[in-house]
Amino acid sequence: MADYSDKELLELFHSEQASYAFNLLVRKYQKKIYAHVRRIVIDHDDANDVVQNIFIKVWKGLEKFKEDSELYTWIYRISVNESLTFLKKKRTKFFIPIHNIEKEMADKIDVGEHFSGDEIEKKLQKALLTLPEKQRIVFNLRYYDEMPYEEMSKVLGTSVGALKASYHIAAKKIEENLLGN
Amino acid sequence: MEELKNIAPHLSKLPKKDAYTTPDGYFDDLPSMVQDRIVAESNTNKSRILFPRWTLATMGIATMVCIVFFWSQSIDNSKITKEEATAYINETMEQEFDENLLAEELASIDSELTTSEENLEEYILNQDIDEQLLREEI
Repeated sequence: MADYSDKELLELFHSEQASYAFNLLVRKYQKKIYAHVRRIVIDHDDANDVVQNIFIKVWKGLEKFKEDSELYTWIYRISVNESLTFLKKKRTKFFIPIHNIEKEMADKIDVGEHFSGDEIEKKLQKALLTLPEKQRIVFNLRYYDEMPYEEMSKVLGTSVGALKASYHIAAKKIEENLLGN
Repeated sequence: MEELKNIAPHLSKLPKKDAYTTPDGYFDDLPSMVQDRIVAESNTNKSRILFPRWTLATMGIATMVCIVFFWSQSIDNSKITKEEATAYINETMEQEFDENLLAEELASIDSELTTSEENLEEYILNQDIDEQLLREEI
């Protein structure tokens, strides 16, 4: 299957081949978006639900997409919002305020379903769960996706300076956590 | 990487890998799963257009009003007028009233009404009956 640029996909979408174009878009971005979401929500079934929600929002919004930002920036922005919404819903599902969903997600890493990492990798993922959610997202985007701060700023709506600070703090915390263990 | 070496040297040495995996064929199926959900949501939206919520709510209220109205009507119909009741009694009395049955009943009652003279005297005294009037009656 030929790789289409974002511009070509948008042109195809507006040229009465919307479904075909959208199908190509999903195939182009699904692995990246899934990986991004999975690192946030940990569980595969949860990630599957969130990813589908993301692409349905993309479908609904693509007609009106103004191209004042890059397509993948827009998709990533939706991904971040949907992932944070999912975590928020998960917290409010449990009426006991002391319930710790991070502990629940750490337990899922230990179980190892759809997880191929070794013990060090498990420690790293569990260390990431100790970070505040947005800080964890910043770390993931920089460390795993190697996203430039300028693009990250557009995705998250946060200044470059704040993002750099957030990443530095996150990396230090993880380092201390790994050394402590 | 240079950035990370300065902040977290130990972390920078770890091999960077994506340890999260998916079930076999997941990414082959995901596009069609998304399409199926889009179609399903589109059908749900169509039924909402045909029967928007406010229409369904109005229909529900109207149905309740009709039920209450017809129920109250059925209760009113059970009442009959005084004239209707009188006509029924007159008609029924002529057709169904058995005088012989009444006579038999009265006879059985009379036989049960015997009482002693002592009881009768006690009753008269307790009722403060005018003795003069009683003698006149007897």
